[in-house]
Amino acid sequence: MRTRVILEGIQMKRESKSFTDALYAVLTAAGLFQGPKFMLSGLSGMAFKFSVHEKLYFHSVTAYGQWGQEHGPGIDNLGIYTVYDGGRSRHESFREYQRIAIESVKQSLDRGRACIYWIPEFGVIHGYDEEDQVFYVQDGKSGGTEYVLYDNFGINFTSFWYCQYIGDKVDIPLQDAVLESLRLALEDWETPYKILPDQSIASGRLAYSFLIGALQQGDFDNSGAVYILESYLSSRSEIRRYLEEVQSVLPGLGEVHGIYAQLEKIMRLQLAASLPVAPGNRVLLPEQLPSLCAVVQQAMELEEQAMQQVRVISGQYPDLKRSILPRWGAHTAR
Amino acid sequence: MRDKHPLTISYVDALHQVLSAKGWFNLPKPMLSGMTASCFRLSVHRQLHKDSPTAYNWAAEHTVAADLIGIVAGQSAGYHFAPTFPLYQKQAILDIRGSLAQGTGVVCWKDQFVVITRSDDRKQLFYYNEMSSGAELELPYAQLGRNTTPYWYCQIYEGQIRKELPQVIRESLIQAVYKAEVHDPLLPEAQYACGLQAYDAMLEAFSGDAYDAAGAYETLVFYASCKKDAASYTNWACTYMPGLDKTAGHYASLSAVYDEITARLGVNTLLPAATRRQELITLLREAQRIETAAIQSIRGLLREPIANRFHDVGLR
Repeated sequence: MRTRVILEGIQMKRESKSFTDALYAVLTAAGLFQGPKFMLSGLSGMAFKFSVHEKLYFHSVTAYGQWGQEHGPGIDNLGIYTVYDGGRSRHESFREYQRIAIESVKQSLDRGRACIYWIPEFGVIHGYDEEDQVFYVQDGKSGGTEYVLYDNFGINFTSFWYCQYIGDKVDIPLQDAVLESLRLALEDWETPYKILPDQSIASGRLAYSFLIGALQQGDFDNSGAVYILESYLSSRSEIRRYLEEVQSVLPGLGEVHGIYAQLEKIMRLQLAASLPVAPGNRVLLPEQLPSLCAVVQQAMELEEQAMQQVRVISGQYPDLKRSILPRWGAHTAR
Repeated sequence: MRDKHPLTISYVDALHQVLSAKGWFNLPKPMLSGMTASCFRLSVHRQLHKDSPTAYNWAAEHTVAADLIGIVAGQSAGYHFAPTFPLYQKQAILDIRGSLAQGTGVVCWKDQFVVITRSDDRKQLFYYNEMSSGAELELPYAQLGRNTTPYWYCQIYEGQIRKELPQVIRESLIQAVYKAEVHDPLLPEAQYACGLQAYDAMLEAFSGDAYDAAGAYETLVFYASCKKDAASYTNWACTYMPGLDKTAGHYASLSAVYDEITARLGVNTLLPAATRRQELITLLREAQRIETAAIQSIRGLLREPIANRFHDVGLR
């Protein structure tokens, strides 16, 4: 163990979902991923994840499931080894797991690999100082580095702590990876609730209904709504660019791309009207809510069409993984 | 261990071997089965396929099992046909050797739960104990995880934190309520039933002809051993939790009924099939009634901590 490590070439930038931004920073610096961020977001299936709390709270954007179960299959589809530590910081065993995780982060950094860490939201640990007992953390927003004391590792205002490590890589043929990314997307689309028994947050198709329902009813968190919609739009933009890039890889994918291109266009226009660019607090204009609802409804129908086509494409190829009942997933320990 | 019925071998048998060898758990196996809440799990395939005893969320339940007794553990699992499997296998080999070097056995899936007890780097071999036979068998490093079933799994134990017994017992009983009342989201409801609902599924299966007879036998022999564990455990736990004697009484009766059930399913019986089936249905209804009463008695005893969990009994 060295006394101080700072990894070069780590520069997290908030553009996508925070997990994707963190993963991109970690993988590109380690030479494990080449290419633009939308490709990472598409291949990992992260771009397709869409979750909405019934009151449109801010945390909707990261509440797309039990993280380990959501991130693992996405990173697996890149051919990259990954493990995570995490849980609830109120558990009696937290200090013991915290101690183990701190060692794991340092070992990972010693091997030249940064870690993804829930600040919140997700950020990157890119260094440590043994003398000062601190980790160096980037959140992708300020451009600078924050410090997290070893003692405070994992402690934050949410009840969760989470840290993800990456390892080596095997090559996965592009066609296989694209097909699997579509299947991950379809799973997210078709799973109404990802954090059962909690039913206040919906995923995929049902997330649209939650969004429309809240906007119509009017009793929602406005800044949360802004964040959900902006994140949603940037994800759809990533999906469109991803599919543009890979549409020739699988027959029928061009059609899916066309649908997402249309979806992105109507949504971008509507959000420009509903969310005028203004400094400071951005809010949804109330007079625009009816037309916003109508466009979100249209977007839902378009995405349903896209997913129908994805289902047809997926059905052309065997899917061993999903024909066997696993012994993990669905819910994590608590 | 040698006198164990091969059909009743479970994760807890393997865990018990590791923890008692390490001196981290010094009570008989039924107490581990109870404290980890393992013996309270009941889930069945609706046609009673023989996978019922092991068809559950290993990753989730074994993490909770270890945490309930203050054991710090790490684990990994997956399909061995996944393209990334070699990466995970490589890491698992390193981790298992590391654990063995600390004198701690490792629980792995080798088409049943087994314990890896030692390794030989020169020969590139692990040695593991098959729980049912007690035999020590060889497993080449390169074969780790490459099972007949599509799964690989291992759990590594890293330490222990101190837990107070009354608290452990209380939490295990709350988990029993959770397991009885909540369907495991891993299992499709069209194919599997969990907790007290498993009785309706079993009754329906035995009322028709569409069940797997061999699987039914394996499943019920397994759960009979769970009920026996639950009876021993709750009886023992009465010392630490006043008022638990009623619950313990229910589990003792339940265990006796399960013994009757497995006797009806055994091959040695001379009764005609129709009579046996009718008796079986009557016994299962009796088991359903008793287990429902057992869970109700726990709910009564732990009304306040359970109510504090709001809509999610399992959430600690």
